Amino acid sequence: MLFNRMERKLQRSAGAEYVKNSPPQGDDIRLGSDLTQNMINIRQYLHDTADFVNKEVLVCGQRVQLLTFEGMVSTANMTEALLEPLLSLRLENPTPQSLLWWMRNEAVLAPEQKEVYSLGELYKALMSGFVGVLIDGVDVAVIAGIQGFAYRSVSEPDSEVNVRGSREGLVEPIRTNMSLIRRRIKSSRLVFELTSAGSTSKTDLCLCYLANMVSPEILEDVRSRLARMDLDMILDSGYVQPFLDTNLSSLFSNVGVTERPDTVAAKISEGRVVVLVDGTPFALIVPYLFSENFQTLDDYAHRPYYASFIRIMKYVSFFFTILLPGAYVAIASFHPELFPEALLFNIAAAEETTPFPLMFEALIIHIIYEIMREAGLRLPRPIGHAVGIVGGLVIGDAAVTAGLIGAPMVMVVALTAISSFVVPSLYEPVTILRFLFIIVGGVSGLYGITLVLCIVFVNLCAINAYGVPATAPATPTKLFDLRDVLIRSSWKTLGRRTLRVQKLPGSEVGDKGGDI
Amino acid sequence: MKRIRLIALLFALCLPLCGCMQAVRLNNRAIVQGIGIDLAEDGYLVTLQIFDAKGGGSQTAVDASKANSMTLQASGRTIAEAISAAELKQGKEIFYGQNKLIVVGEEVARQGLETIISFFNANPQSRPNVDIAMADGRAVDVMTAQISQGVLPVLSVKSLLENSRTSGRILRGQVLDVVDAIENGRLGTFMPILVKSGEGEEETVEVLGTALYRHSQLVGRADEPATRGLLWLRDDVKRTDLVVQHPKLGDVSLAVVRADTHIQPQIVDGVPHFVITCKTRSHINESIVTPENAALFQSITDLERMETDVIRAEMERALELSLRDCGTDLLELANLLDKYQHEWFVANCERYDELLPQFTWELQVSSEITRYGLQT
Amino acid sequence: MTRNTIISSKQVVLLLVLFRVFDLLTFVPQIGGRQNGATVMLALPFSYLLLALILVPALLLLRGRREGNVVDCALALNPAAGKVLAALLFLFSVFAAADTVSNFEFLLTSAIYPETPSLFFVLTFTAVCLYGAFLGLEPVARVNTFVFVLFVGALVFISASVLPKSDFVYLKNPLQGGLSAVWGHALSAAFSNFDAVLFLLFAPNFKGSLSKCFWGWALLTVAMVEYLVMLLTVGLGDFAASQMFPFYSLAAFADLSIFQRLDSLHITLWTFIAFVKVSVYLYFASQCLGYLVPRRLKKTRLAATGILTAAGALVISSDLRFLTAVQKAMATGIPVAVLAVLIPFVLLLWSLIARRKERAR
Repeated sequence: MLFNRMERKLQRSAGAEYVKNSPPQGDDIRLGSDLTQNMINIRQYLHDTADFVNKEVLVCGQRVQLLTFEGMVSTANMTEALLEPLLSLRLENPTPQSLLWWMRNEAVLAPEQKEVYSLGELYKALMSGFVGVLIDGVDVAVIAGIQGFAYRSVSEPDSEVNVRGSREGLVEPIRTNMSLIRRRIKSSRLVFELTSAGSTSKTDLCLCYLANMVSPEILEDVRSRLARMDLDMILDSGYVQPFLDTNLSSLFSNVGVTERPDTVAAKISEGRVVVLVDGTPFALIVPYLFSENFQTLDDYAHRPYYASFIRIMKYVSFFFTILLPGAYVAIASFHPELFPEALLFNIAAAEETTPFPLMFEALIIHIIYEIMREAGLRLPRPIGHAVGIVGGLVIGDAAVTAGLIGAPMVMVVALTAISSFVVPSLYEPVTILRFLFIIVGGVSGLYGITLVLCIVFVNLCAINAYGVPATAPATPTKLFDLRDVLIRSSWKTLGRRTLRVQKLPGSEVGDKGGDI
Repeated sequence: MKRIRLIALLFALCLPLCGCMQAVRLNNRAIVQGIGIDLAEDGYLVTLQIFDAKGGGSQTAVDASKANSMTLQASGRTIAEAISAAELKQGKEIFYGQNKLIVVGEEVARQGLETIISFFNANPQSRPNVDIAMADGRAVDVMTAQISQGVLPVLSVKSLLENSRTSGRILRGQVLDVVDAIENGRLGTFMPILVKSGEGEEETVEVLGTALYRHSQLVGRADEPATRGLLWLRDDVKRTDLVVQHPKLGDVSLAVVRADTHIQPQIVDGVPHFVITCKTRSHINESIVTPENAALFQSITDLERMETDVIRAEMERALELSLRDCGTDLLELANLLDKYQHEWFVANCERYDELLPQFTWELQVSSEITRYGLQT
Repeated sequence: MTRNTIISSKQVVLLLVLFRVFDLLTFVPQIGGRQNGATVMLALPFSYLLLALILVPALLLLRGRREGNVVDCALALNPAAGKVLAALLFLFSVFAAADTVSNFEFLLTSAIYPETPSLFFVLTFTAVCLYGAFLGLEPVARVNTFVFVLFVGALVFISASVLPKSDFVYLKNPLQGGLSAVWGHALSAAFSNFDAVLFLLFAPNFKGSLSKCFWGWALLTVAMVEYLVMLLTVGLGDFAASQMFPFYSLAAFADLSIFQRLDSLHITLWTFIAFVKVSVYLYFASQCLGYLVPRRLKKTRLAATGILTAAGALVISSDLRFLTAVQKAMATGIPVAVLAVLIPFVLLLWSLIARRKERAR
């Protein structure tokens, strides 16, 4: 309605034939000095969207438009920081230029206050929670960061729970995440490089690194990959992840994901680059080594002997979860001589009454387990608990009593399922590999399993994450760098030399990590 | 897209290969735990003891209180043929990868073990360290004994062999030892003798002694003292009990906890002479004190001397039986001569069997009692 | 795809050690009667000293041209000679790969899967090794580090179960057969060591000194093989003579508590080692073929190499006589004498003469 009134005013005041302007083309259109024309352009471009709010006020006799999107700014802060100073302003020589000068040099409307010259920059700022100030007679807009949009408060991350260690997790707003990281690395070398991606969503991305630790080659590689992203919408870090992954043909990703700011800080201190994505609490870490899937922050809070024990158990769990069902099927079908006789008798007795071969039993039960796991994940919590109970009954008791599966298979499934949660970051490849090994083991015994293991190993060893071997420092081996792989050495040993990812054995990246 | 096509092509290529390897369900396998071999009219009679779960309910389980076994007999010109014939009798694939015991009938043993051992040696399913024993009579009697202990009767027999071995009562034989003896061409081998005893629910299997073989031919039997003598000589005693009779203390039971035997070959007047030293360490297990109340500690030296005499007597007996009576080298003396007296060995290896009874020896046995039990 | 041409000298050493160990783990034809284990053990270090001597011309040739292999040296002197050498090395690599695959398949069909056709193992195994060769030398070398650790672990396990039951009387005086027996074994071992040719092919692919790498390989191989031979000798005794696959029998015989029949563990390990070995040979075969056909046809080269290897393996493993004949052919020492000694010697002389002529100008 305001827009229509303005248009009619224009028509009246102009006198001359007023030609309705067509909407400005592209985001690079420069702002003009005519406030009314600017407003028309903005309105037209935004298609008169209902959440766009503007207010014209007179400041020292000059027409000023305040622009914002509903719900994006803090009304109280806006009143206190922006409106009150503006409305109470008294200038000796009030002109548009003098008003602009005052805003530039004497006013502190918000901690983040900038000037923008194009419509594109103005839109982006408004949509990021800034307030825009347009002055009639000046072709510049002043934006003030008085964000007040609703977001989830900093809480314990659900996906990475630690016994000791911080309870803070990353949140959706990128700037809050930046502050969480900044608080943990109080170094002048910590750099946050903001960029945006997504032609429609214009999502903020932030590259975080330590200037004196990062490899310039890795950093440049990350930048170029992000620049090559050609997506309309970026709603999650998962959209960005494939573009950062250097080896898409592998089951294992060389981009790490974390929800913890302390983990982000630790990775940055090793010369890695972390990418934050606005709107998602998951940060991406590159390059990411395979052995890091087995490291958690708790390892560094426990004593070395216990931490080493837990670390070894994680590796064992990983192999259990991918190999146990397949090996069980393979041995029972092709190599029963490997079982101790007591176990063999029990398995043979169980197979007397079950209708399916072990391979199909394993496949059926694992598929049922995956269905229930996925169902439990998506359902609301109260119902999710019920699914867990039903699942336990269905698989654990009813299926065995009904003679559909044998009791030993239930134990195998249970152990496999529990083991898979020990290393949650590898859940995806582990699930696929598990099914693959079951099929291969059922078809060709230990020979097939070994062959597939060869393929998986060589595939894993072929991954070079940004020039750093994903299997380093296990292979290529450097004994000193193994201090935090299979075991966790004491702090005396760990602290002897800072790990820099580009200096790992087999790295093809230059190890010059100076200030850039 | 290209990758999906490639994966689909690989999958399609792999599908025909799935039929190349035949998985066999466990319930389609007859899991053999014991094999008995006797002579039959047309070759061999093979008795197989097969696992057959006797647990009840929808969840089939193994009930240890029942005899979870089935016995199957079949004959053939060779062992392999007999086992194939056994498959026809019950429809499951015979699986002897878990076989625990081979029992050879006495007649088969007299004929020679080469023909039957070749089956177990060449077959990939069979393990080289499977126990082998000789039946006193026919193997089928031992294999069909209904021993109520344990899950399967054969497993009870195997436990018996293991426990007896640990207490220094029997010489355990394995397929490996028989093949070793045949390959070497000069060594002999041995195995325990099993016999069924008792009736009905009291039925059990006992160890009678040790069967002695020259190469692969049965040539004699060793009773319990001679068997232990062989154990002393072979340095195979882990632990054993022996009783000495003291004139004042009565019967004193000693537990030998450690025994070390070394054999040193020498050539004396062109004939191999072996210096056999055996040192034992014992504890007093049990002493029955006479009314005279003689002090135990004052008699330790006597007891040690008596123990030495017992051990020496058993070793002498074993040496006489094996070298002189049966003419078989059960102590791997040929290997010792080959290693330490190579020249003599090379010159005489063709006549080794002939010269064996002429070997001489010198026994140096010493015993030490180091602990006296908890009784004062 | 990654850049995959440079590995460390330690990785080269581990690769060559495991290749040598593979020969021990596999088919051992009883050629020329029973061998004294101790004599073999004594002969082994001498065989490597001899190898060091006969490889001197080759090492001198390669030292002057670190970024290339013997084929590059030959090409620099005469393109036709280089191509002939490339063809010979290609055939050698394919032959070695086919022999390895056939040994592997022979054990599997003899011991584990008697009813499965050979074609299945040859095809599937060659295909997987081709994938390894396609990914390159570096990933395969990295896998080898894992395999080596696995092998050492398995060896410790098997030793723990076998050594208590061993009889050291079987370790006889190595000089029983006289010095000539030791010398004969050493000569035969040196000249039948195919890995010597492979070592020369590895030259441009690793950093560091050639001689240090050689001595590392020699020392570690001697230690490993001596231990394995000792274990086989004392663990199996005369029983080993009746076995076509002695180490497999040793693993079958080994048991530790509830772990029995470690032969399947042996098969798993052996498959890994065979995979690494065949992948490396296929890689080098493909590289040698690259001197004869355009380098950009990488997939075509690998496919051709794989097909030839599979065909060769099927022929060799179809009959025990062929397998024995291949072993005898290797034992003659001619391939190593020609490819690792004679040709590098000729090339060295040629290069010295060519250099002198250039200086004279």
